[in-house]
Formats: sequence, C-alpha cells, structure tokens
Amino acid sequence: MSITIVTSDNEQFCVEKLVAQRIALIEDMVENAGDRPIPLPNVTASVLRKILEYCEHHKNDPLPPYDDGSRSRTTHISEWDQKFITVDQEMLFEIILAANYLEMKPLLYVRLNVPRVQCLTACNAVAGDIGCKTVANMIKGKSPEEIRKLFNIVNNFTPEEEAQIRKEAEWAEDR
Amino acid sequence: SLCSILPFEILEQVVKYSNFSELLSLTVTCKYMHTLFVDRLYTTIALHPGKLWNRQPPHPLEIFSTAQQLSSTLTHTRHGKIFYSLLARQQHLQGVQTLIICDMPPTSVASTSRGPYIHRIMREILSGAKRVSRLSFWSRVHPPPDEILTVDVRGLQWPNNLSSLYIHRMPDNIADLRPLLARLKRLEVAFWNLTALTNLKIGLNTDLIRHLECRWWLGEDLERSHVFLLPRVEAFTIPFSNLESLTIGIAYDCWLDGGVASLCEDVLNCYVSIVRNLTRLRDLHIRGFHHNERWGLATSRKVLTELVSARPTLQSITLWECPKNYGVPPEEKSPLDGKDARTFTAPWGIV
Repeated sequence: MSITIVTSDNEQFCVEKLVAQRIALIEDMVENAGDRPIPLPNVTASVLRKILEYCEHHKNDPLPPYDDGSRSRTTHISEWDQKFITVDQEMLFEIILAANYLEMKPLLYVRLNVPRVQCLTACNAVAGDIGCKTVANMIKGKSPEEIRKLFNIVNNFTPEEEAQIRKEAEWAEDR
Repeated sequence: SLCSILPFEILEQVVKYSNFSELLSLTVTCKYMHTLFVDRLYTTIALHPGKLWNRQPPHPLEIFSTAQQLSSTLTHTRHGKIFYSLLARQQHLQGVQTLIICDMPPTSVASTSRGPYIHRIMREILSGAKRVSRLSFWSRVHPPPDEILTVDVRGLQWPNNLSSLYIHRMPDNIADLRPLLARLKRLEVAFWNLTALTNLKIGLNTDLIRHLECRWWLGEDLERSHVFLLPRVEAFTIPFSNLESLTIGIAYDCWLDGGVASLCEDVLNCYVSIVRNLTRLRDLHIRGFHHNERWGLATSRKVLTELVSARPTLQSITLWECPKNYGVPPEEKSPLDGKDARTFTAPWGIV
C-alpha cells in the first residue's frame, strides 16, 4: 500500500506506507487525507528525497530505547548514516529543519505506547539527531574564529566584550 | 548562518553533543550564541567540577572540605567570578547525592546579570539530579548578615529524596521553600535574622527533623532582644521533639572588647530551657561561645554543668569559637584557648 506526497515545488512522490509512517506528521495526515495526496509545503523535493532515503533504509529498525538522560551522549554516526549525511552545508541544514518540521520523533510515540515526553526523547536518537551530531562534529576542535568562518557567523562583539568573555573562561582554555 | 537558520531547540540539541571547549567556542562566536548558551556553559561547569581542579583533592570531599578545596585551589582573579561559585560534587548528574551551590556575594544571584543564569542552572540541575538528598546553598564569604543575598528558588522542583538542606540565609519569603521544608530531616541555617516580625511558622515537620542548626542574629538592641526574641527562639526550637542533634548560636551586632558578646547569662538560660525540653537530644553544638566575664558568664565548666544537668541524655557538647585570652597568666588559661572548638563527651569528668 502506498501514499502520495506533494512537495513545495509540486513534485509528487509515491511512497510505501510503511516507509512514510516513519514520519509522524505524515502518519497523522494519512488518516484524514484518505486517498488524496498529502501536501508538504515546507519541504522541497530534493530534501524529501533524502528524508525518504533515510526512512527506507531504517524502516525495519528496532525502536531505540527510552533515553532518560542517563546514557552518555555520543557523536558516533553509523557508516550508512555518515554516508547519507555527507552533503553540503545548505542541504544539511535543510534536512535538519525538515526532520524537525516532519516531527519524525512522535512516530515512535505511537508505536512505543509510552508517554509522549519519553517518546520525544527517545526519538531524538533517530533522524534529526544525525544532523545535529553532524553539526556538532563539524564544530569539534574548532576555535570561535573557525566556527564563524565555517557557518558564516558575524562576530558582533566589541573587542572589549570578547576579551571579557575570554578572560572569564581562560581557566578552561589553558588546560 | 548557523544561528539564523537553525531554531534554538535544534541548536540546543547540537550543543548537547558538544564538549565543554566546543561549547565555550560557540558562546564566543557572537552575541546571539552567547545569549543562548552562556547559562548552559555555566551548567556544564557546575556539573563537571573536575575542570576546576588542577590537583587531586587532599581528602574526601565533605561539605566543609569542598569549601576548603574551592578556597585553596581557585583564586578570584584567575578563574573569574561565577565559574567556581557553582559546584556539583560529582561529575555525573545522575550520581549526585550532595549538591552544593556556592554563591559569592556580591558577584552573583540578584546583584548581577548572572542571577537568572544561576536560577536556570539550579532548575536544570535539580530537575535532573533525582537522587540528590542533600542540598547546600553555600556562601564562600561571610559578609554582615544584612548584606547576604538570598537564593532565588522560585519554581524549582525539589527532588523526591531531598531531605537535608543547608541555606546560608533564611529568606524572608519562604513560600517557594515550603514544599521542601515540610519533608526535611535536617535543616541548617547559617544566618537567620530574627525580629519581632519574622515568621517562624515555616512549615517544618517537627516530628521529622532529626538535626537542626540555627544561628540566630538578633540585631543591636540587647535589652529588647532578651525580652522579646530569646523567648521566640525557645518557642521555635522546643517543639522538635525528635531532635537528636542541635547546633545553636545567638549573636548580636554588638561589640565588646573586640569580640561579639554572644553568650551572656540570658542566652545560656535560653539554651538550657531548650535542651531541657528536647528529650532525645544527644549532641549539642553551641556556636559563638565568646564567654566574657563582663557579661556575667563564668566559664565553660559552668556552661557544661548547666546543660548536662538540664538534659542528661546529652552525650556530646561542642563549644565553638572559643576566645584567646591574651594577657591571662598561663596557669589560669582555659584549655580552650586558641582553638576554634572543643568537644566534651560523656562521662563528663574531664570538664
């Protein structure tokens, strides 16, 4: 069984329901839409293609365990996911934003039958987090100046303000 | 750019995967990032006190030892202000059982822009540190009581196991503390400014409390204090019928011969009345034991005799802050001279 999704640039995707159900927003919309196409006005075709690629690959994955905050956070990304997320920065941000918009996390809420707040935490480990981990990995080991350059951030501190912040933190920097 | 494209909740997620130095770099990139994450930076510091240490602590960290550690290893100029004033005793929040939140007036809390950060940090730590049983709002310095800032505890969710509280100054408004106070087994208040208007009905469960420490500050009017305030101290303390350990001190803002006159005859009588009614009391500490002949109080021997007579269950009495008697002939010097405290234990023949 499949459903049809229409992107913001009017491209139609025919998607296996099992795959689409990895996306909570779509799962919610399927019930009301009947046989009609499901519009995703905030997602372009190129981004949806990537999202569906991810869903297709992970459609049979077991559900992640509930994260009560006690597990150590790791920036490790599996080999397939690493390859999947190796995109330019613009696409990376679009994937992160789309995963956020598509509410891929609550999908697991339905299946886990656990309180929504627990599910949100658990599902953080699924899709959007790969993007976040990737951004975190990009920042790793970089100086403020390098981070600014990498992400096109304008330094709007005055020299005095920046010096003050650095001074306050100098004990941490010299270790 | 990163900050204009990604919403806060996603940036926050990114930061959760970053270590301390990366977080530090992020907060320095621009004002927006600094605003977003400076409190998380402080939280990280609070949760990873090992970063503040450049050597192993000399001994296991007890509450007081932690204070010593902070004093001995960190300096104000080198480490900034607020960084070292926040401390969780263990590195991992889940394992934290004793949480010490240090404050150093006037550089923090309500007096500076960092106040809101501290509140958010406390909220975050307390919401995650579910096993915290002892919480200490500790101050690194001892300014005059009227300059002590109270900690903002509005909206904090107290962990279920929390049963012991140290607070540097009892706030005037205790509404936000009430849920916690009602289930305490141990309460320590370093400064409690007592006036005729002070509300002493703070919701403590007198059956639960096993240890109570209150250091009362009665102001300058000694005569008025003796008439009106000492009875209030008595009335507050006596109902704790299951009290096993009591630390008490009564101080005035009154200087005599270079020392605070804080254990005169009336105050001793107050202590005697209190311990007489605490039938399970075994351990007594008296703070501010500045005895002075001019105030009519004789010696530590007299103090001990009266207290032990009033409460035979006492097994230990500690007198703190004993004075140095300059100019006193050696044969007349008290064994307490020059010591911060001396403990006497039953049997009392050593007195």
